[in-house]
Amino acid sequence: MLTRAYQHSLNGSSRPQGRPLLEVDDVSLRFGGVKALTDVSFTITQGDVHAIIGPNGAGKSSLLNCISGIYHPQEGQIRLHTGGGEDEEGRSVPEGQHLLTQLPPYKVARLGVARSFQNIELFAHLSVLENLMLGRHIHMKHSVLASMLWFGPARRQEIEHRHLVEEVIDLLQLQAHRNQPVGSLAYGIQKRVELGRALCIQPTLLLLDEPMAGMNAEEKEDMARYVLDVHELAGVSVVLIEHDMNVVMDISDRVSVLDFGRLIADGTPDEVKADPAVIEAYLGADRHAAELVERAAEGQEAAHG
Amino acid sequence: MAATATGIHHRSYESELRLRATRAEYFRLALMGVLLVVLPFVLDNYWLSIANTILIAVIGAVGLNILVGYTGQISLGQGGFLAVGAYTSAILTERYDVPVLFAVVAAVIATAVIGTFFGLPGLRLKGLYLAIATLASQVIIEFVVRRDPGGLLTEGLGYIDVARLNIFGWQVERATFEQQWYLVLAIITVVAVVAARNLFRTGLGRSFMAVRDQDIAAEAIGVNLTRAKLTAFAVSSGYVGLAGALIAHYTEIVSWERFTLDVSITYLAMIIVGGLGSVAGAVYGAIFMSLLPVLIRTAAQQWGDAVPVLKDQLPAVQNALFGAVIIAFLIFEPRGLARLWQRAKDYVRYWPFRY
Repeated sequence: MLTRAYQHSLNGSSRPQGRPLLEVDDVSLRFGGVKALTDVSFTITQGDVHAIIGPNGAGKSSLLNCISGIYHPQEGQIRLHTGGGEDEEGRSVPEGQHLLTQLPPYKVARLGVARSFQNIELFAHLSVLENLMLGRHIHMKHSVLASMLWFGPARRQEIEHRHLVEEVIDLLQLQAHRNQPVGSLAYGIQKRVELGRALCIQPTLLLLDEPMAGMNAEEKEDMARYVLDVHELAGVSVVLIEHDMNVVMDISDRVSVLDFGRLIADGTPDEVKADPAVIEAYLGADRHAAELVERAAEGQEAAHG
Repeated sequence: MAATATGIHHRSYESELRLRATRAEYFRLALMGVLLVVLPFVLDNYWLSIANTILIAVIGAVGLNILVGYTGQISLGQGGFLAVGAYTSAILTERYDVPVLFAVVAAVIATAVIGTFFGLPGLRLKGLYLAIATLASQVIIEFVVRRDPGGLLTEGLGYIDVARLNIFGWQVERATFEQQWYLVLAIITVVAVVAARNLFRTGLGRSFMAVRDQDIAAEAIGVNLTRAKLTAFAVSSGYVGLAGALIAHYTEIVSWERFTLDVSITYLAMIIVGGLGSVAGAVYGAIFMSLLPVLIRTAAQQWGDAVPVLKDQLPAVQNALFGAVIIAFLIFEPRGLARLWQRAKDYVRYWPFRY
């Protein structure tokens, strides 16, 4: 199949690889008497796929909502670091720091923090193309008179941003659905469109809330491939909430584990897998039984290996 | 999904972004243009006056659809905003001798500002609650223009007489009143409709629709909800203000009876029947709902002797049919005349296949 050469970088971050990108610092979130998050701290590094896992109700989505400004935690800070590297044209960008904790969602989005939602939140009556073009919203100028005039700046702008949108369509193989209303598409494709819309922002950080929920094994594999493409080809740092442990352990560089609103582990997939607190959270309080299970699993692996 | 003719292969985004692509579409457009030009020469003054009222209604309906159909903010304040436009323009021309052109522009701006102010509840309220809040704006504005505190608006007369239209020396004559007005209104309406159509193929219009479909997601991609909603209120009210100012100068009299809640509901009916979230729908709806009472009246004159109820109870029959039409559309085609037209086009395109 013929594809265009990608001309645009989808990665909006000018942080050098391996430098801290987002710092979650002692964040606590309460809804009345319910503690959704308690003293959560961890750091997301530029260039990582960072998974957040935990049992249902552990506070994963709440944490994501705190980062993207939908919830404002009562305590703690979330800081986004920018700059320190070079931008697309090779100019060096001075380092900067933004406190996300008090910003409204649209301002967080303007810093390039893009996200997808657990339950698809697309603009159902608009076409795939329009949904993706909306991902370009923060990069466009919006004047009532120019829009109504159409010829001139408005049209030029539409065409200019269309080029990047088409690259995202190519990357995610949405060509066949370009002009279809999103509401009429299959679930798996809608999930992909949502990923695409977030990508069109040229994110500094991409937050994906269960991008593979409700998919069969094949669709999951596809989606994992797209996420890896986004990460490896486009170089975007990704925060991923996911329940499927195989996927998480396969594609992430770092894993944070939440349980009852507390961070119980944070490390590489292998470290986390071996962490007794994680085993306890996932397999129950009976540590001894958990160890037996673990040992049995290792034995099996060794036997098959 | 709308049918697209096969064999259209756009070679550039410019050509894809055009509103019309096929020869049939250009042909229909030309037909419409010819119709618009020929109309004043074939219609008599009575029907031309109806055409003129329709043209003004089209502007108002398109404006309302920008707010209700595209941005999802229900408004019952249409009548009030029409009043703001009408009174502003009338007072400026009659009392302050402002040239009509500037007065109309001022009316548009004034209505946009007041519409934005009354749109503020829209930042907190949705759906029915917003409908009630905008109903308040209707009631407040209607109350003010009706009571006319201190004779500020009408100097105690209760109405404002507006002079015959005179645009920088181009005077509308009594003999050719309707024809000349038709010319003015047709130009303004076409410009207004095309501008609205343009708005919704750019990022700004898309952000309105994003607010309608999913406001949380809209915010998460960087749409400033406050700004988007207030801009929608401003643009929509601007259109309505323009319609109001044109009503003032066309009818040459401004009084509160023209701007009651009934008017708001009629306009809402226009966009529901025409098609929410469609510029063309607003146009069809305005035409349809303006013609409906006229056609019923004509029918009553024609067959009034055979069916006396038509003649005796004309207003009641009109109201009943008005309601019946709205209910019929809500049940059978909630997306209105625009959708019906689309389906008719699809039927022809796919024939002899069903889809």
